[in-house]
Amino acid sequence: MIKFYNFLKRSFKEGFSIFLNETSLTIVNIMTTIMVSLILWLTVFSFYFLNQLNNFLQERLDFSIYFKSNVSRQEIEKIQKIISNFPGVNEVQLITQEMALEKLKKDAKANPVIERALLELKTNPLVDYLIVRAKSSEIYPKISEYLQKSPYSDKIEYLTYFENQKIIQKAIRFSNILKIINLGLIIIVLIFSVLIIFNTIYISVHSLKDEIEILQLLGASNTFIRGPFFFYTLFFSIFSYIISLGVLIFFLEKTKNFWPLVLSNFLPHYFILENFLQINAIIFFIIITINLLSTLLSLQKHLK
Amino acid sequence: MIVFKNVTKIFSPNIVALDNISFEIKSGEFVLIIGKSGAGKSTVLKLINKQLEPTKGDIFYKNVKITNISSKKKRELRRKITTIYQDFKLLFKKTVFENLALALEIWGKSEKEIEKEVLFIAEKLKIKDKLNQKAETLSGGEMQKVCLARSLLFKPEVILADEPTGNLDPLSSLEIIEILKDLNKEGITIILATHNKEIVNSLKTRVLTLENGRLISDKNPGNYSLG
Repeated sequence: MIKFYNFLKRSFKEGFSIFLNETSLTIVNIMTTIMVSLILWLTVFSFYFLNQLNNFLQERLDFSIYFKSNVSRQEIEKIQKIISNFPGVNEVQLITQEMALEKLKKDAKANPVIERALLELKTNPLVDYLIVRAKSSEIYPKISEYLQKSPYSDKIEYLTYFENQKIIQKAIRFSNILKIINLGLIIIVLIFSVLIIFNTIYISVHSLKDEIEILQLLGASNTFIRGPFFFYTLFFSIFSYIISLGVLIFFLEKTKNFWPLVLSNFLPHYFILENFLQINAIIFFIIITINLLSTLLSLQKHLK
Repeated sequence: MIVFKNVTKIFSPNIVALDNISFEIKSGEFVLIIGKSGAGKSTVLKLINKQLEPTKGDIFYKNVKITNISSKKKRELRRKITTIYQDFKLLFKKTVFENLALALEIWGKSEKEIEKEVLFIAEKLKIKDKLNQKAETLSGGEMQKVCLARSLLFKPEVILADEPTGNLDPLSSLEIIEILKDLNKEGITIILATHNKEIVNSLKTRVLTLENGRLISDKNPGNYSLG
């Protein structure tokens, strides 16, 4: 137990000594780790952006149910309640014929012909309808199928789902393709990052090969030799991660008003604040794992 | 104590460093291994301290075969058979104390024990005043004394000295040889590889001569002189 404590104490001290004294190696390792940390953050943000883009598109691709003019409002409200309880449905909004006419008048202001035609109307020709907003556009065909098979099918004039179906499917395909491309790019970038980290650490370890050889000639065990390198890797990884986090927070703070202009629901600083511990724990774990594995593999060549 | 039995060492692709050599070194002996550069002197020492494995033949230490032994046994052996080198193999950015303490840290000794033993050995080799100096600031002779001190901390049975005076001035060389002679008198077996004629002629001791990897002579004290 005392021997293990002495080993840990020595490894910690020696690891810190390498961190302080091997300045150029430490700087290169820190720079590389910062780069990889920022790439990982970029990965998180790109996925968040694509999710938000998907949500943004879905919100705009609504699904409307138009009723026949003889259907009462109570019946429409009953259907509204049934659809609201559908799994995955966020909101079902009732647009009365009065509201629909008001909207039409408002939209027609740009077109004087329609505006004049609307003024001449004595009765409201529009009907009540429901706008359904779901978490995913995949819910809409299910609602449509349900309605067509339900006792309410004869009360429905038409569903806009069939008009929007193509554009909905295109949007889903587009966002899925973007996600796959993003994933592919990230895997490639990550592979390169791991190779860069491994090579940097490999060079660092190699430059200390004389020290490793001396320890071996003095009869040191492989664990004894690995100890300081383990702590050294921990030190520069933690240090790099703190710097990369600082850079990220600074960047997000400076650009927080810019992102909503690109995509209204893309708010990376709020996203980070909400998931701070979770995301940091995952990224830090990945960084530490890559760095420690690189160190141990680089050392292995000298410990044979 | 150390027995070489028909040992051959061939380096890739086909460089014969040692060619079927056999000899025995008894406990407490002071043996010189001489020969030109590339004769195989360092290879013999590296085979003894397990930096190398023989291509053919066997090596015995205290009647135990030490060819192809485990890493653990190698580490244990390197505490009994220590080595000092021409290029010192010190951690130059560390202080003398830290260099010496390292040997005991490897053993897992406590800080108190380390301090006590380092002070004792530094006193013995008269380097106590250098303990807080960085190794890189020492002279060649002082560096070699630190290496010897580090070796002695292991309480070795054998000291291998690979051209220990190669980088030293004549006075420092003499001082190191005197220390080695004293250690030999204390019972430590010394195997010294050198091509320094003055050392060979001044030491009336057993000499193994190597030439192109072959052992061409094994002469006992008093009847060897390098002209």
